[in-house]
Amino acid sequence: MGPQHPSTHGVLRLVLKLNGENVLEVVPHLGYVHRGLEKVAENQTYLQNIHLTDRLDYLSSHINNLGYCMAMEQALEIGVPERGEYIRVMLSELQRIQSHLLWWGVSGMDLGAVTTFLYGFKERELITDIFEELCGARLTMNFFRPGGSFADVPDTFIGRVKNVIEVMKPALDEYNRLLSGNIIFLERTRNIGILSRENALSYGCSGAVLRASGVSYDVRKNDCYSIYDRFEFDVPTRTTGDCFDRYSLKMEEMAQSLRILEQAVQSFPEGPHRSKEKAAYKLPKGSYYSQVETARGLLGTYIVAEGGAKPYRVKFRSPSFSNLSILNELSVGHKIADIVTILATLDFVVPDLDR
Amino acid sequence: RLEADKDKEQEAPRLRFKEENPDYKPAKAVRAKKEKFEEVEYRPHITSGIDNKTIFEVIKAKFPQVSVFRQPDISPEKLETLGKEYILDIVVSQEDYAPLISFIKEEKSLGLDLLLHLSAIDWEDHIDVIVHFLSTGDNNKLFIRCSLDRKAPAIETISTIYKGAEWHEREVYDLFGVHFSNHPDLRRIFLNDDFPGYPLRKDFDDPQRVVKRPY
Repeated sequence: MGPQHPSTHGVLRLVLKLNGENVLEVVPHLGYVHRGLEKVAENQTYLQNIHLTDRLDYLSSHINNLGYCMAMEQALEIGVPERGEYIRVMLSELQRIQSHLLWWGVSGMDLGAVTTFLYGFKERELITDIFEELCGARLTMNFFRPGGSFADVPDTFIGRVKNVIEVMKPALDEYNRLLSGNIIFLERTRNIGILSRENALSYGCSGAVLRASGVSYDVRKNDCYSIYDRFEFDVPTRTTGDCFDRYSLKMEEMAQSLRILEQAVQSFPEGPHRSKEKAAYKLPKGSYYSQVETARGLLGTYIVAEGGAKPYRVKFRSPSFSNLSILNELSVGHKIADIVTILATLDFVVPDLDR
Repeated sequence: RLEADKDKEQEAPRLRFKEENPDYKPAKAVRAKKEKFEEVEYRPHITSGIDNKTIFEVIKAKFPQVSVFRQPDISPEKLETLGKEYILDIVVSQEDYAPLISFIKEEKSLGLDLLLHLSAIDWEDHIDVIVHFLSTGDNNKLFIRCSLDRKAPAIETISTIYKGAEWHEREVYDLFGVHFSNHPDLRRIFLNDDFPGYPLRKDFDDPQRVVKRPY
């Protein structure tokens, strides 16, 4: 399955060893989108690196920025005001819904149901319009700074978010009616790519892949960052670990994100959107680590600083990299078409893989 | 030259404008008001879970030679002085590396079951291999370091203990040149197989590929 393929979610090359239509071995070849971001980050100042984190996993760029800014705030001990925190949480959840909508549309299209692609993007445009009004960009936002956000949200923001919540609730029902109860979909995803709990932990999977195998770990709940502890939301888990579990888990995640958004919109405070900016961001000597939950899984940012204006080493622990390493184990014994299903539910983005 | 052309073209209309409006004064440029923000107190991110002192004591009981990174003589009780958000960063020697990691995997009281990542840092005179662990049950983290010689960095693989390390070790081999013994499939993962050198090392200088900025 060559690098140009409509179902590999990017530029990924899989070399398959087949026996007729049964898969014996899958060897992924990565590196087609390797830009050496970690090396580039050593040559840029700390603030300039924020725009690099956007490009890691471009479908959840706000959340990537947040992880990097949190590591910087930990080093420099910068606080974030109330409104800044609320903006961060709301934009992260909007980004998560947007990313899941794209995932849903594309995974339906991979399996053959091409209408899901257009239906998913219909609601996604509402959220993308919010982002465009906010910061001018639809994909790579570069919006958060250490201490808050770059600019304040416009006056239309709350109205638009309320509109999105109102529109998304019946839309989610529509999407569930389209795919989740569909007998063809169930036949294609039940008992495909079963991931056991020990394997999931041993390979370092995170996000929906880990939660579908029975381990309840969500960075927003377990390792609470920002003000997620003020909002009530559930972290659903499943036990089997097959493709259908991962799929239904992501649909429920969207519903939970809507819950968080509702609660945040009701108590959105006034005030400054960021704290005092510094003249120069020079991190003291040491190493700092922060984790966030992106739409793909657990993103860790590890900064090693030596006291200058540029970092010494930045390591991005990308969720897609660990999630994809189980591909060989999952797909042995299935057919070629099942690989497409497994790839769709593993939900990776190749720039996140290759950095 | 374009400015000079424009001046020549516009000379006559400009003279005419000056005659017609003798009292015209151009508007003063107003500077945009700079918003002032206040300083906000930092809320440290306190993680729940087993504290550093217990982890350090459990590990030191089995492996007495380990020490904390950059704090050679610190005792377990003094670990709290390193900060509320400090994640325990242990330096281990090359012989104890694999036994320590299999001890961590099996020790249920520490609960460190998820391998976050395995990476490397290139200090000028040696290379540090770092391994990060996370506990999904108790949510505590542990960082482990091992210093390697720069000329021939080689260490044992841990992909038999934590299977996810296979790809991470391939990445470290690809970008740093650290050789992992007993690895099932050690080959380059990102770069093509005949790429010269190891990019993430500090002395990698390829004028075609690396563009150094002047600032």
